[in-house]
Amino acid sequence: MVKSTKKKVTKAQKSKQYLPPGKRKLGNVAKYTTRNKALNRLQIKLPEFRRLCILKGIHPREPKKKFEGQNKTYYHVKDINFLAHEPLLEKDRDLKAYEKKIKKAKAKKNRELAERFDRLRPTYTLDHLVKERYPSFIDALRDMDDPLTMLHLFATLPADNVQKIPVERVQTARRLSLEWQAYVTRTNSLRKIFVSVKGIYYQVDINGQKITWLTPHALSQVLPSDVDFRVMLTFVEFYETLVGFVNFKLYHSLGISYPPIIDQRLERATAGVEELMEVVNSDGTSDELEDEETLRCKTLFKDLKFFLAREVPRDSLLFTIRSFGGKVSWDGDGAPYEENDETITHQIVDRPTQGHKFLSRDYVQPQWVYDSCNARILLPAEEYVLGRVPPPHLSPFVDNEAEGYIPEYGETIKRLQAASANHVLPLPGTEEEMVDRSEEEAALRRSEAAEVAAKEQEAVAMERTYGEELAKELAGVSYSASLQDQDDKDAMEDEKQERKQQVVPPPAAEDETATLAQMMMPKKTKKLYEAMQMGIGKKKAGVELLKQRKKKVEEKKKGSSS
Amino acid sequence: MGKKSKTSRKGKKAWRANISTADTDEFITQQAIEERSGGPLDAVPNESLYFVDKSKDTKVEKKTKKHREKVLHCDSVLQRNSLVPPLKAPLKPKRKRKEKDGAKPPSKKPAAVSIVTKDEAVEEKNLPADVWEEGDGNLSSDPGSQAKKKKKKLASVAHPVEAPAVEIDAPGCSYNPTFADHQEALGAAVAQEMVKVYQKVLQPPEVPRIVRGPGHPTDEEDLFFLDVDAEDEEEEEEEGVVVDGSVPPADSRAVKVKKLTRADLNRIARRKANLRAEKEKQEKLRLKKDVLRLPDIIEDINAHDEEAEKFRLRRMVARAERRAHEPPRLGKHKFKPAPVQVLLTEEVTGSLRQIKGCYTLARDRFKSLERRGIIEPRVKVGRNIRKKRAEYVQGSKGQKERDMHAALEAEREVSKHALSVVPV
Repeated sequence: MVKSTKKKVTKAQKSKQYLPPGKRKLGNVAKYTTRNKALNRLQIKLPEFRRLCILKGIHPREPKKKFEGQNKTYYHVKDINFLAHEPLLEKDRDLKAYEKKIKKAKAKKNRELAERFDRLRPTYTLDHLVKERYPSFIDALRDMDDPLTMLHLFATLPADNVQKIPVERVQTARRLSLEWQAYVTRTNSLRKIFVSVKGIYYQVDINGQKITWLTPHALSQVLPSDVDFRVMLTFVEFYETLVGFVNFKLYHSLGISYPPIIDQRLERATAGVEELMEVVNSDGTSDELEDEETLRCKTLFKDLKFFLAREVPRDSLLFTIRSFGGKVSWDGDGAPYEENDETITHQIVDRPTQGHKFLSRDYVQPQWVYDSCNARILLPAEEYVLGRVPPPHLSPFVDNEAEGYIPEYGETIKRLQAASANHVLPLPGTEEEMVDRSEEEAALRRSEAAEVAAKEQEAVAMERTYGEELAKELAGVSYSASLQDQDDKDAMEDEKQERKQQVVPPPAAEDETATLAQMMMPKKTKKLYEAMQMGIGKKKAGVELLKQRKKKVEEKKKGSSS
Repeated sequence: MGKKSKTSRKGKKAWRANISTADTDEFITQQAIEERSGGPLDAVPNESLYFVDKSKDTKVEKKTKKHREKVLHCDSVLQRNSLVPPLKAPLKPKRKRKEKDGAKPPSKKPAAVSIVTKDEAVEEKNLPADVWEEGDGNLSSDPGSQAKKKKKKLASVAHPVEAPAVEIDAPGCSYNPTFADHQEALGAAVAQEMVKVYQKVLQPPEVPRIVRGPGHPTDEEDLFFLDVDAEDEEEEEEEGVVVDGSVPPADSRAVKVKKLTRADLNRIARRKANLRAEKEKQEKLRLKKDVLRLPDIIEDINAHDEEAEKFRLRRMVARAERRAHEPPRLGKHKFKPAPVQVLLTEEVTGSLRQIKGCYTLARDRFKSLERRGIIEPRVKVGRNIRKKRAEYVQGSKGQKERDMHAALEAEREVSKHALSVVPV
């Protein structure tokens, strides 16, 4: 008897919405949809769709197979469905309906009614979006680069009518960026500054997160025509909310109430910076658990008083100097102290000649401040004196050890740093002393180990040559021929030894064990080791080439000048 | 007709006979009776007419009581007297709301973001709540809870392209760079420009928009060029014309198709069959030969497979490289990176005051957004420049067509005469 085989009905097949494979969409077509199809599904127009995507953080995708063609933009079906449940959609529709009322009132020449409607216009907030996209505070901090850059940029843009940049946006952007700068100043978190053609890059370390942003120079920014400012404004709208919340959290961690209460007179005079400083510095608790880095930064400009001339970039220098613990003043209303103040130690100027010079203070160019902050020591002011081209401004974002090449001025700075580290008196806290001492001891140990290793190597080499010569005698090789061979071998061995010696100095606490391990390496690992050395050698060759080029250039210069 | 007889009613006398006085007589007799019995019934007080029967007539009482106790049939039908207990409405089991995102959010309820007036919104902004508070901040209202419930797993929230939000320039882009770094940065900028130049140069020459035909007047420059190759051109022309005598002139539109006869069709069919048979024979022969050289075939296949594998690897590597330094292709246009912002050698003054800074930083931000794949690369669409107005001179309507026709005729004449020339 033939058993009737029952077809297994899967759970999916039991549901009423089940479609067999032939009838439903499969694969890429099911997962992705084009932009116009998304518009049809959501029943909105393109500008609103763009705005919603930006606010929700939905971006287009690239499917493996573009089933509608290369020219289309594809989105995830799940993203679009997610967008469909957004309450802002309803909000927008209500707003549109409200706008119609205003329009109607205007058309009926009922100006009062139109104005009243305008005043009572419903508004919306983006708080839920911030919470959705950044569930925890650290997520928001991680993503702060772009918002800060945008806000700083918009703070300097003109409120344009053509591109429809509203004045309130510009003002809010400026306020938020100033609040952020005040916080950084208060917590001395500024770590790196780089002045480039595009603008000034700052890097800050907050709660363990490194945040980098770019501020434009104090030029009047142009609104290029190939940039869609509606898109930028939507981003700025979202970022305003985000940065507002982040500032709130940060200020609360310091113990200051968030929208800082501002003195009106000062605000008008200094466009917001000064009173923020006052509020921030007066309120709040000081954090006792401070990083070593933070302490260093705090004490860098500790007893120094600066005065800024009119032609230097004021905002940037105010921010920088204050973050490193210095006192600043400038020429104008609301300044803490005047130019004639006796206790000023440095005056920052940037003009070719200075008419009246005080003797008690140093006249330096602004680059001195930036370079000192990057190096964390007070560089000698002679090189940054007036009328002289200062030494090159190096980028602190370049990892010199990784490149293997340190520019000349970088080496000078390194030497100065080392010198100052030696001269630095031990702080009352014994930890620092211990650290220094242990460092010195470690250095001593290292040098000793290097000597011992060198001696051992020599001994081994001598043994090897003795053994080889014996073998050669037995083989019957003549002395002169063996000498020639020896020379070649020696050259190779010398190179090897050089390389080995170069390897030994780099910091390693287990130098002795390392050299021993070298001796006892099996062939395979030895070959790998040699391959590594070849790589290092190539890098060094590159560096050598650069040095030679530099020499040539210098020679040419000398030749041309003489 | 009724019971009344058909009497004529003409005249008063006739009418007198038909009037019945019965009701008046009745009334009068009734009144007489009422007066005799003690007045009209209306005027008599109730007490004289009615009395309450307080006599205890048990028979009557029982009867009345019995009658009163009887329930109306309609009422008895409505009363329940079944032994089956009545069913209560079934209790719907309350769905246990899971802690996670089990419950569906109320979709038909009013918008989660409440419509606040401007003043309220201003107030709220003045006291922002902490979004990331451990307990519930002010955002415990609908938007927040909705966000919690809506913890759907979105496809990769992280940025699609691994590029930092703020890309730091090379050290050579500093306002006072070292010589080596500056040269490097300049090299990169120059390389970008040269790539563009080379692409232009290596492109095939563009098809010119306007091509001047043989009849149109040539430019002065072209006249000189014409003279150079004049001899060669004439020879070519003659040859071209002489060889194809039977070809109809190039401009004639009507091409006559010869009608195929039965014989022609048969011939064609036979030819086709022959070709097919030959093909099959050749195939069979080839198969036979292939069987003999199997190892060679295997080698060929292996080589082919290896090449395909290499090609695949190469493509994968190329794709990985491209993905590393370019955003994915998200739309119609390809991503064009912004040029490297570096100072020219003469602009490196080392002075911060005289720096030639970048004043289009908005473009840098926009490009960064495109680079990270958040926006698809966009190209500004220019406004439609309306075509220039064309002036119309009256009487010139068909002039162009007439000219063209004349030119056509002239060419035909020329070709006819050319045909009649006999080659030497």
